[in-house]
Amino acid sequence: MGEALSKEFIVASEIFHANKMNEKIWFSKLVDKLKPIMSKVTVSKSIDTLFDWNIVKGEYGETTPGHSGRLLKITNESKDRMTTVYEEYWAPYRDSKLGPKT
Amino acid sequence: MNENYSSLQDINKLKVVLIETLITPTLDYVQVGIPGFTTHGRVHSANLVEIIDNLLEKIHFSEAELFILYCSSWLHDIGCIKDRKKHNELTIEILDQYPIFESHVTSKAYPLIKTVILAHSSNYDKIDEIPLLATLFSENDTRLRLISALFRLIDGCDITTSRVDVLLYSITKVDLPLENKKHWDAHREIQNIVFDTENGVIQVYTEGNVDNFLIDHLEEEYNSVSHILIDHGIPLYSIEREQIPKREWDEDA
Repeated sequence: MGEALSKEFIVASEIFHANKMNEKIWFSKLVDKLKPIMSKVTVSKSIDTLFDWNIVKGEYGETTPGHSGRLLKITNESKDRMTTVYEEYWAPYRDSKLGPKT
Repeated sequence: MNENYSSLQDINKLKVVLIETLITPTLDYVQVGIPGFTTHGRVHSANLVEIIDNLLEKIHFSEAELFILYCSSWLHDIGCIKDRKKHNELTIEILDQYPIFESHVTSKAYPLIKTVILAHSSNYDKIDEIPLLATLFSENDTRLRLISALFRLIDGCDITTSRVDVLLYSITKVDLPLENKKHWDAHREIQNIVFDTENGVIQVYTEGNVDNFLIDHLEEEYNSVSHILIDHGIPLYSIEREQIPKREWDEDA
């Protein structure tokens, strides 16, 4: 089951996870979290696809104090779908893939 | 289903959820109007709820005001099923035809919601005649003129890239008349809008040229209600535009 997700939906699921935990997430932070399983280039291409398909949106705002960037969020219309994807295909495997406390 | 409305009491939260449940299947049929306009359906209403929730962090609303704003978000554009022109009036006609709406929101709330819905279009020129205060759950708990003004502005703020279904646009854009294509492209460029009450501005972030006619229209909407906001001490005094870099990861990778 843990291998069922495409790289795009792994990226989307990790963004969903951050949104769910009320954590801000942006590109470089996402790259860092997914480092154990995915290269920066792969994350970059995946986010592009997710933007193009309106699954993820970026809201320009403060990332770290004094710095701005695109804060990544799952779009409203994709939330229901991503809830299922996250709960069934990512949440149970996340720690084993990324390491705990990521 | 939307998971918002957490600021409402359970009974009112339930009513809003019921309205959302009732209307969203119909909103799916509010036509995109290809090759005309971007969606006025479910996504648009959900976006307005999100904007309201963002505003909640900065402006205090009463339980009554929130309830009216949320219900208005879901109901205000069903008139677009018939026609986009004067859709605010058409929405009222539709709501009046079906008693289930009034029974869901209660007969006390219903006229207040209709007032907000009627006033949300800039073609409604009687916004200054709306009573300042109204009573819903307790005496004078609703700043009716203010929330009518705010709702017009909130509705006007949903002009970002989220209005564009990318696949739909990709399929249809080849055949779109230039005028309509300009509309869709203008939406695609606007990344997000922030109500910056600390600095007193509504900040519009755009990837494209800041000279975007949709932002011009938002300014018109704002100008039509700014005096009401200022009279009520809402610290939003202007619209600011900022061009932001295109997706930064394209450069990083």
